[in-house]
Amino acid sequence: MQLRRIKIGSQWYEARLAIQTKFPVFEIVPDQLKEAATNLLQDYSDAYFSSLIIQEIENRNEFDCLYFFGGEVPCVLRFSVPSEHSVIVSLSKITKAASFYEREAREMFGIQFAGLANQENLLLPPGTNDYPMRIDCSGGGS
Amino acid sequence: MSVMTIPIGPQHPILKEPISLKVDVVGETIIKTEIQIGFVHRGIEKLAESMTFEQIVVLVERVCGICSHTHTTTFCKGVESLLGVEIPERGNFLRTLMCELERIHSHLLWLGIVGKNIGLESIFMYAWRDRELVIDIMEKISGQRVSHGVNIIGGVRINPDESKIQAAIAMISDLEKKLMTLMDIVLHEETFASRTKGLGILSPDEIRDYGIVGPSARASGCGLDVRKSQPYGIYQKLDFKVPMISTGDVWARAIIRMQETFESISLCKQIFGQLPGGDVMTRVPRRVLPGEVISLCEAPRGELVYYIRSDGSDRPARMKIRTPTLPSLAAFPAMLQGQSIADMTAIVSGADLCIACADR
Repeated sequence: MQLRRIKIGSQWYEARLAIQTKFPVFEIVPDQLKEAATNLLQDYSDAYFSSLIIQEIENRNEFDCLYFFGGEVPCVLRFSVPSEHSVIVSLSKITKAASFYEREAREMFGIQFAGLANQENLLLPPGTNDYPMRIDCSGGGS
Repeated sequence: MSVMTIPIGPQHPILKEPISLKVDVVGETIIKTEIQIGFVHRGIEKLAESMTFEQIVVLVERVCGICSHTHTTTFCKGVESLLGVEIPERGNFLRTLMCELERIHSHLLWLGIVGKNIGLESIFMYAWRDRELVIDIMEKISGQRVSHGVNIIGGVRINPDESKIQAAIAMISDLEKKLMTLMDIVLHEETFASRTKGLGILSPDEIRDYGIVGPSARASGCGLDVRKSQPYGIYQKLDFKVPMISTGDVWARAIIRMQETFESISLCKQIFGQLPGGDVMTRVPRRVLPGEVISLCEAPRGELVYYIRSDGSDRPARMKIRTPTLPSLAAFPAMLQGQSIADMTAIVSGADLCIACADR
C-alpha cells in the first residue's frame, strides 16, 4: 500500500503507520489543519472527509483529534489541543461533510470551531449544558 | 411571491423514523431545507465506554434494526484486528453471508418504502413479499429474524448444518426468480420512472464534498465500495461487480439497489458453493491489547466506520461510530434545492436514511 504524502508549507509529510495504530496517520499541529486538509483533498481526487473522532486523554487535559479521510488509501490527520477553551479551525468551508461532525464534537466535548456557521446542537436537546463525552461526565450504564 | 415555511416531522407519514425538516418554499419550489436530528439519540458511544468488549457486540447490534449484523461485523473486525486474531474460515464465510443477506433485505425494504410513498403499492407489496423470504433465510441460518446475534469477537456463534444450508440455497434461488419480476417492474414501469427520474440529483462533486460512499454515491457515478477498496471478510475470494450509474437521481438509486441485490444473490450462491467445514469461532482473551483501529465495512447504505481505542483493559477507552446516513442527511438540502414540494416524498424516501443509525 502506497501511503499518502501531503505538502504543508514548504515541507512534504508522509503518513506513518505506528505499531499500535492500524491506520496511516499524519501527525500535525492544529495550525496546519486547514492547509493539510485542503492539500489532501486537492492532491488526491478519491479522498473525502469521512469523520471526525475526538477523545479526551486521561491525565493529560488534552483532546486527541483525528480527522479521518476515506478513499482508496484512507488516512488520518491527527493533533492534540488543550481540553479547556480550545478553538479549532472549522473545515466546513473546505468540505461540507465537516459541519455535522464539528457540531457533534462541539456539543459532546465543548470544543469550539472557528468559522462553523451552524452552532446548534446536532444530537442533544437545545440548551444542554453538559458535555457528555468528557471523562468527568458520568453517564452510561452500570 | 412570499416564502412559506412548512414543518415536516418529527412525526410524519412520509418519515419512517423521526427527523424534523423545515422546508422553505416559494410557490411549490423548495428554496431551503433545515434538518434537525437527535430525536432517537441513545448515547451509545458513551454507554460503550462502561461495557466490556463482549457486551458491546450486543449493544452495537441495536444501533440499527436493519443493518444490525454489519454493525457487529465492523466492531468485531476492529477488535479482532487489535487482538491480532484471525477468525476461522467457516466463521468468516458465514459472517460475510449474513452481510449480503442483510444488504438484500435492506435494499428491498427501501424499495418498498419508495414505492409506497410515491403511490405504487404494487412495488411495495412485491418488494416486501420478497423481503420476507430474505428474512426467512436469515432466520433459517441464524435463528433470528431481525437482530441475528450472529457475531461474537473471534467468529460467529452459528454453525448451520447441511439441511439448513440446502434449504437456504433453495430459498435463495426462489428469491432470485421473484426478484426478476420486481426488477422488470422497476426498469420498465413508466409510472415509476416518471415519479423518480430527475429528482434529488447529486453530482459526483457533491457526493465527494459530503463524503457519501455507498449505493447513493454509485448512483451518481462514484464507484468506491469498501468491499473492493478495503476488502474484509472473504470478499477477496469472491467474484462480484460494483454496479454504477451516473444520473444521480432517485431512479438511479433504485436501479443501483436492484442491481446490487442481484450481485448479493450471486455472492450468497458463491459463499454456499465454497463454504468450508471446520470451526466457526476461536477463543479470544477478554482484555484487548492497547492500541487503536479504524474498522470499515460496506453497510447496505454505504461506508460504516468504527474507531476503537483500547487501553489494555476489557473495555474500550473510546468507541466512535460514523454511519453512512450522516453524510446523506447532510446532503439533503442540496438534494431538495429547487425541487417541487410534491416530489419531496420521492426524494426523502429515495435518500435511504436510517435515523436510528445517524442518531446512535
